[in-house]
Amino acid sequence: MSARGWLTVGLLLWAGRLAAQQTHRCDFCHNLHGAAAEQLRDYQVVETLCLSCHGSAGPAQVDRDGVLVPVPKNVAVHDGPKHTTASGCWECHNHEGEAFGNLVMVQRSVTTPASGVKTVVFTARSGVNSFADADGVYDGVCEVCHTVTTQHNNTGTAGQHNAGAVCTDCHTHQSGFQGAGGCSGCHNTAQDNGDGVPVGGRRAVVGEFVRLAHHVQVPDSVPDVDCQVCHEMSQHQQGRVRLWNVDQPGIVSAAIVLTGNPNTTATEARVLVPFCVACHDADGAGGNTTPFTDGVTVPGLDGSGWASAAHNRVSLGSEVGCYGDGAFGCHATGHGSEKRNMLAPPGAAAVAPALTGEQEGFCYNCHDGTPASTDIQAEFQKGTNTATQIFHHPVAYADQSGSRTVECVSCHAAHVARPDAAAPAAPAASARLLGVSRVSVTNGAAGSTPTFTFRSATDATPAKEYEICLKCHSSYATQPAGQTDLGVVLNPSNPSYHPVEAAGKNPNIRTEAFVNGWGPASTVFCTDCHTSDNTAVRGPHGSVNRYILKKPYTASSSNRTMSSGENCFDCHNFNTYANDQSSNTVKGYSRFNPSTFDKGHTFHVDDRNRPCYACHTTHGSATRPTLIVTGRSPGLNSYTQTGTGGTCNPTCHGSESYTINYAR
Amino acid sequence: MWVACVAGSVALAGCFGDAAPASEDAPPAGGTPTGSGPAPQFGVPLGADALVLRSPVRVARAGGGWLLVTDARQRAVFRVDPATLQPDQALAIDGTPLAVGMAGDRLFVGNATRRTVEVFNHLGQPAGTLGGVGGVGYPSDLAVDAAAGLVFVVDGLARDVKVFETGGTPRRAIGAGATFESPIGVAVDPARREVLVSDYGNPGASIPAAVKIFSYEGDFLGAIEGNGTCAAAGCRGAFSRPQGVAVDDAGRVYLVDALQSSVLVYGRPGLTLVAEISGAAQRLRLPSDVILDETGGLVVAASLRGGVARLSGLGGAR
Repeated sequence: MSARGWLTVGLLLWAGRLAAQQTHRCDFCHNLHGAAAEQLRDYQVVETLCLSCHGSAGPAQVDRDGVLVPVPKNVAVHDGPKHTTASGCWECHNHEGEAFGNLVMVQRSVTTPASGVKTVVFTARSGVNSFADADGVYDGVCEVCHTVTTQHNNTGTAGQHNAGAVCTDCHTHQSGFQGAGGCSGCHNTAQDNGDGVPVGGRRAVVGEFVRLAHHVQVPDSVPDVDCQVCHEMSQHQQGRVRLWNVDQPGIVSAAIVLTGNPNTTATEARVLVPFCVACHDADGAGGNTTPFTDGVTVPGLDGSGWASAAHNRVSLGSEVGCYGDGAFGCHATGHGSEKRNMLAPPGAAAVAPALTGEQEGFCYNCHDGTPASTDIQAEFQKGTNTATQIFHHPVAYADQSGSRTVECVSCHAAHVARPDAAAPAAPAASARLLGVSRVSVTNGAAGSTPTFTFRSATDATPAKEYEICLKCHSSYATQPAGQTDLGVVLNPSNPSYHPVEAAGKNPNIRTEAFVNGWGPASTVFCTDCHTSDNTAVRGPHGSVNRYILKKPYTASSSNRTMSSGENCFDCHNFNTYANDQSSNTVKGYSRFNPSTFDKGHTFHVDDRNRPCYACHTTHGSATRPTLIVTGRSPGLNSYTQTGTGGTCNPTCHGSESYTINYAR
Repeated sequence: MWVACVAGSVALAGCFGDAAPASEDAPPAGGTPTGSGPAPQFGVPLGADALVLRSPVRVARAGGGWLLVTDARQRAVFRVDPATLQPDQALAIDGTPLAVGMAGDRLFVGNATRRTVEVFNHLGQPAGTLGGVGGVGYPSDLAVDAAAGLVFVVDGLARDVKVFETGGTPRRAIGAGATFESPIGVAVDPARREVLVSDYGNPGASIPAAVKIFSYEGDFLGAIEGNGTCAAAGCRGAFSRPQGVAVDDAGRVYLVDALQSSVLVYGRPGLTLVAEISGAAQRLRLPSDVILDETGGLVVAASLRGGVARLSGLGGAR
């Protein structure tokens, strides 16, 4: 018998030992063309042989029963930095293992690169005797060769992640077993490579992309290409999260690398600031403003605003930035959060009515006195608001009603707001208010409603504080019935007004009629009157005083004794207007006082207990000078002003004329 | 990307030039446009490697002289310049594309994931399916007789060849019963109204690989078996992994064998082996399809190397 004949007999005898699981006849691979049953020693020949059926164009995914079966296709070489030589198909697959019950032609005996000859048991695809079952005997087909892997090596000294699982579900043939199968294929469960960074491994992130707010607006999936918009993969599974600097696409050396846990370490979270800002700027990801497959345009930050923003605190000596737990950063995930705007903490939904962790509740994480120096939360909790009794801006969910609502972000832009380098001059807005939308006014004749122009958060024209207030406190908004349109009454075309939009109409009034540095040419902020009663806190968040006033004031003309601590006298001289014991010199700083007229302001306020409110309106008058108002009781029925004095017709006595102390 | 021109062992030949088409609709330089219908216009995908062939499966001729190539890993149909053999546009496929062919304004793409043949117009806009989704279990290859208005689709799951009118109406199935073991490739010879189907056979049942030939009506006419002929000097003409098939005007049959990395040429009468063009020395690994280009040269898809190559100048094979 020829050598070929003996070989044929031998093969037939061997084939007879094969159990019913045999799937490959000898002549699938040997003796293909009538030649001798040659040994297959060439890696490329074997690879081609296997792929001639199992490759893209092969028929092997259709089994003999006419059922589609999942078989490896487009197999890539099992190679990489931990290999001295590439491994081909037959490093794992050869027919002799079938005689011992090994599945899919997995070899029984493998000559390993560094560990000698190892026995392989692969009689199940999962569980005991599968790929890597962590049973203390390292005979899995994935274990026997591995000596320097971080998982499942042949001495049991590496990690044992996903023991008993089907390794090739993630470590696919197509990827050369590099843990592919798509990013989502692995990261839909926690992944621990055993390096202890972070403790417990990488959390499962795929599920975060279906939360209330998330990157990548693709339903039900996160394409790998989107993951890799952010994640630089050249050192995947080597212990560090590496992120692209998207303004330097493809430059691995520019990658932003985490060396610790940004969820627990402010310094580490701070590392992520340039990563976030690189994309959330005007040019998006290196010029691509729609970097994800969802086509959504990147929300851009005002780069110059963020550079000096109070929340960008590295320049101020503390570690606060984009990423964090709510105390040292606001956004605690790059993937998705149950809070709007991906705020922290990400895992729990904000639940009405408290909505803790969102909007004002979120801001209170810091702005309750720690670590922020002022307790803004306490300001918003002052007093109890009613329809007419307002003590705080109603930012709380429970206080919200109607079509007009207010939140922290109505007045403060978290990515822009910063302390003032120098006190702003009214009406210029404080830097704490920059970066929010507002409405500017174009005023017409006295008493007319101005033309409002909405200016977006990115509008570059200089912002005035009152423009932010007028968003809500004018007819630009839908105001509650009976509420004053401040756009109308603050119009500088009016005969009189508090000097919010422009200096007042009474330039010759004596400076001594004012206190605390105010004068006839002053302009004022709304927040000079409407601010906290706590002098350590600026802004109209809340006050123990009605109307969120800095000091007490009663909006009633009923007789009462006014005190020097009332709000009017924070600017206007109490002794000139409300102290009848003052000298005529002090009284004479007001035109309507002795010595040219024996009664006047101090007589009415102090002697007769008529409060300012009886005769004066607050913000402005479209019809009368010096904020004179009629129709209140006690109050004025009418008033006429002349060049040298005037005539009053009050509810208290008959008409009376007066002469002023000094020229108007 | 590997685009080296490859010469066969029977006759060496040079490559065509690298000139690109003058315009989108103009016939590419170096080729005579004989394909009917408009030139395919797909658009250029984004991404640095989006226009790289990674695992080409089937090649077909299209209007305007262009070639079409399906790529299973890229999940796309590429428009390929026949002069440079470089892809310049791509049509993304939702699934794994295998078979491809074009008749007039209708582009046919076998989608193994959706188990159907998807139909597009020349702009890549969907225009229905052949057989409906799930109607073609494993559409590994197709051939078009545009003049007859017929599309022949290999269904590796049902193990038959489904014949459709180009408008989508099913005509018949060729190969019911046990006619095929593992059909994989198909070509048509319009002059003879023959359908040629490559079949891996079934070694388990000692059924050799073959190219089986039928009439358009489904009558079995004969076969080229893969056993080859062995003599003292060795064996010749055998094949075991027959993939793409092509037929020229003279009725010669060109068969790619994926394992041998060769193209076998059979002449008439008798369909005897007249040439065996090996590409192994030229790195032609795992070829999966062959077509005749406008000049009669052979264009071969080499799936493992991720390229399309030309074997021209068949010399003694003619």
